[in-house]
Amino acid sequence: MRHPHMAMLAGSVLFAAVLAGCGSGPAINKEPSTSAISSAEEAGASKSPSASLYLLLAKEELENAKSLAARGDKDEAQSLLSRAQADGELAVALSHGDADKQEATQAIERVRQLRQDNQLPQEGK
Amino acid sequence: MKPITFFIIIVCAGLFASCATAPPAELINARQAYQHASNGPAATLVPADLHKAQEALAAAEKSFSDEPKSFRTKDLAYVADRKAKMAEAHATTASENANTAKANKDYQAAQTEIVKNTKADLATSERNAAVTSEQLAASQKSTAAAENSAADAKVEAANVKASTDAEAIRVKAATDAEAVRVKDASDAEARRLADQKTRDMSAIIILERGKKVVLRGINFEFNKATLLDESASTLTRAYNALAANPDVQVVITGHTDNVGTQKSNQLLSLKRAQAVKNWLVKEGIASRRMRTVGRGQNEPMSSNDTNEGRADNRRIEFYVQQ
Repeated sequence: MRHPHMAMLAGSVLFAAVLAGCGSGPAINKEPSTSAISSAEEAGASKSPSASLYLLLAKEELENAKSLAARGDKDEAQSLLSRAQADGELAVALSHGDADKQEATQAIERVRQLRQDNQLPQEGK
Repeated sequence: MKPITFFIIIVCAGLFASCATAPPAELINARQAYQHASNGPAATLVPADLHKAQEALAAAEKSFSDEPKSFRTKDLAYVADRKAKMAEAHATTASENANTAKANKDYQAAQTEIVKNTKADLATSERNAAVTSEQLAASQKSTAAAENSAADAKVEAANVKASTDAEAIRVKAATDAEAVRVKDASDAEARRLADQKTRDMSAIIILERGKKVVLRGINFEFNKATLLDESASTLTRAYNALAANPDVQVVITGHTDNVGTQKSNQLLSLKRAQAVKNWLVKEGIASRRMRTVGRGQNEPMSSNDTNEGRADNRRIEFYVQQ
């Protein structure tokens, strides 16, 4: 009696494992996209006029990918995550660009003010 | 491979593919984004980023060629579009960083220039201060010299004043002495003349041939030929002199001062000479021994500017003929 029960249990476990494997497949890799989104947020993309749109798109795409993955469309979800990563990285680049542009403007203004305060000719004049 | 060459190949591939299936909007956008990026500063500033975009677009094109309508093709094209935009963003960042670096360099240059100018200004100020100090010293020296000169001048002025005062006192004393002397001399002369007149009026009249005698004391009424009584003494002495020298002949000459006209004085002097002759004739002197002449105001003895001078000029003279 014991052997038939053992055989049935092992078979059930194996069946369940096979079912689980066929249903979910390998898990999607969200790390690159979530990392890009985090970097964009740290760079201040939400406050940047040019970067905030792409941060929003990245977040939406991440959520859509999660939904697709939950539905079992893991390939499509993984592919969509590449969009989220690309938008997150672009948001980072644009945020840095805004900050660099602001810094350059301030540096130029600082030079102009210094020259004006000390009665020096302005650049290009 | 150059970006433009790659882009041409991609477009050709796209056209070829479009013959079969229209490309998705994501791929069209990716192509345009890559073209835009490759024609901009990204090609020179961030070529590595542009290359990544190029690779992403190539993967999308390949996927489109293999699976034109798959979600993978759309996602790859979408990523390629973002890679191209990212290359442009990085190019912008590089450009802004270059601007910042240049501005910082300019700032340092400006500071260096300011320091240089400040040093120059300081040197100029020091030179000006030195010049001012020298001028001040010279001014002080000049002021001291001026003060000394002023003191000297003051002393000199005091000396001059003392000298002037002394000279003034001396001159005044001399002037006073001279005035006294002149007055004394004048008084002496006046006394001498008075004495002379007195002597003339009282002395015996001496008639010398060829000489002229003034008969002092013969006076007439104003502007007339009428003898005054006081003339009698002198007339008497004239009569005695002629009587004592019966062979002497005289010319009786009348003179006046300058009061009146030349012509009237000429006539008045002649009439007064005739009045004297008439008085002597009446006393007994022969008329033939006396001839009369009027000289008017032409032969004054003294100045006509004073009463005394004019009195001297009004006279009768005897000229003793030879």
